Formats: sequence, C-alpha cells, structure tokens
Amino acid sequence: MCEFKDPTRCLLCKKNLFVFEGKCLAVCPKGYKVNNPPTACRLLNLQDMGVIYFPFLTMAVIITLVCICGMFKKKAVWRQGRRVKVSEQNTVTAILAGIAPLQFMAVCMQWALCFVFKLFVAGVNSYFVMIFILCINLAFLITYCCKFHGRYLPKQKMQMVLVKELEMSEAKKRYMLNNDHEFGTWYPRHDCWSMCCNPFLTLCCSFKCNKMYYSHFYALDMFKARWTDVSFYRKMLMWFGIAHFLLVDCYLIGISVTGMLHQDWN
Amino acid sequence: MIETFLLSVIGVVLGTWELYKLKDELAYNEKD
Repeated sequence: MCEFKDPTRCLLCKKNLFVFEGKCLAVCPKGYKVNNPPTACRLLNLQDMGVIYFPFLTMAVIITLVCICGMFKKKAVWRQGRRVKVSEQNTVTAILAGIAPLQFMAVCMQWALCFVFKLFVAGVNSYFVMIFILCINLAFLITYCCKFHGRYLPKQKMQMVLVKELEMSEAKKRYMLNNDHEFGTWYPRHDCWSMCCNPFLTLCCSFKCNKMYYSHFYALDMFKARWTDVSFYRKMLMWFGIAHFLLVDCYLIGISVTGMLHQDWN
Repeated sequence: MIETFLLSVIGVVLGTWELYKLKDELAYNEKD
C-alpha cells in the first residue's frame, strides 16, 4: 500500500516485509527493530535492552568470587616444625566490605521502585533505612576520624606554647603526634586508599568498607592496617556492627518479608 | 525486595560470623 500523493512511498508492505523510510525491507537495518504487530521497522530504545534480573545479587556473587580467588594467594609459614601454606586474607571480612555498597544501592533502588509502583508504606520504611544507614556510617566516620586520623600536641610542647616559648605554628609543624601511633604511621604510606577512598567516597557504607583495612585482601599491604589501640577499634566495630544489625539489616528483612507477603505477584 | 532481603540475610550471617571471629582476626593482625 502506497501513499496517495507519492506512489513510490510505501505505507504498508506484504507479509514478511517491513516499512522503513517509505520502502519495504526484508530485514530492518542496524539500530532498528521490527515493531509489534510486525509491519514496520522502529528505532531501538532502552526497553529493548531487556530486563537484568537481580543486578545487585549478581554483582555480589561476582565480588564473592573475586574474594574467594584471593584465598588462593598463599604464603608459606612454619607451624609446629612443618612448612605449611596459608592464606592471609580474611575472606569473610572482604566479602562483607565488598557487598556493603551494593546493599546501600539496593535499598535506594527499592525506595525508588516502591514509589514507582505505589507501595508507599514500604517506600517510607526504605527511606528510614537509608536514613539509619547514613546516620550509622556518619557516626562511625566521625568517631573513627577523631580517634585514628586525629593528631595532637604533647602536653609539654603545649605548655611551651602557652608560656610563649614556642610559636603555635612551629609547634604544629614540628611536634604534632598521631592519636594512634601505628595507624598514624601506616596511613600516610597508603594515602590514596586511606584518605580518599575510605572516608569520603564510601560515606554511605564507610563502616563496612572500613573492614577492608584489616581484610588482607589478596595479601596487599594497603589492606593490612595496624592500630596501637586495637581493643578500642575492636569494640567500636562490635557496637557499630550490632547497631547495623538491628537498625538496618533486621529492619530491611522485616520490610522485605512484609512487602513480599503483601505483594500481588500477578 | 528479594534482593534487599537476601543481601541483608547475607550481611547478618557473615556479620555475625565475622563478629565472632573479630578478636582472632585483629589479634592475627597484631601479630603479623
């Protein structure tokens, strides 16, 4: 079937032929797809990319596999008079740190989709989870930075500054000490990772990403931090871990289970 | 929701395990 004013311009073609720019083609050109019902060629759009099922879980599986591969990097040590090969990596720790950003992204996605599909109760609850995640991570970041990234002036030098035997700027330049000696000497050697990646880029999951510090991931030096006050660090991780379980993980499990039970799957 | 549920369950299981082992891991870290 052709256009009334221009008989060379096709509007409808025979079976198995498709209209494309006024012509009948057997196959659509690149970047085009047959429409439904199959009469013409149309431009490809985002929906043609198809659905990616469980993107965050897929990423989590990939990260887990990467971490598991790290277990195969071993070092030989002497134990009870025998030479054995052991993996230095704390694999569970590395997996936890790796999937933390995915969990935050999944919550954000859940929050957005709940509003798209008009599941307002679940949406509001997801919003609260996001707030809790941000609060916990921000609190962790502040505590961690104050305790382990901070520096101080020794009492003796401070007194010298007070009696004006020493200039404050000079004292700061020459006599400042790290709050935590071992961490303070370790992190300048891994500046990029410790100062940029951890505190700023991982704001929404800094608590779990901080675990990378002691994960010994692939036995790399940048994942082998040391702390003088390791007991404080351990306690800090424990309390923040418990807070995360209760406020984030358990809450999320509750929302997800309730949401799935009330979901109309048809 | 299935994803957040599974990621949270994984987080709880691995987190509990890690919390249980935390002392050893950091002690190992100290010795290293």
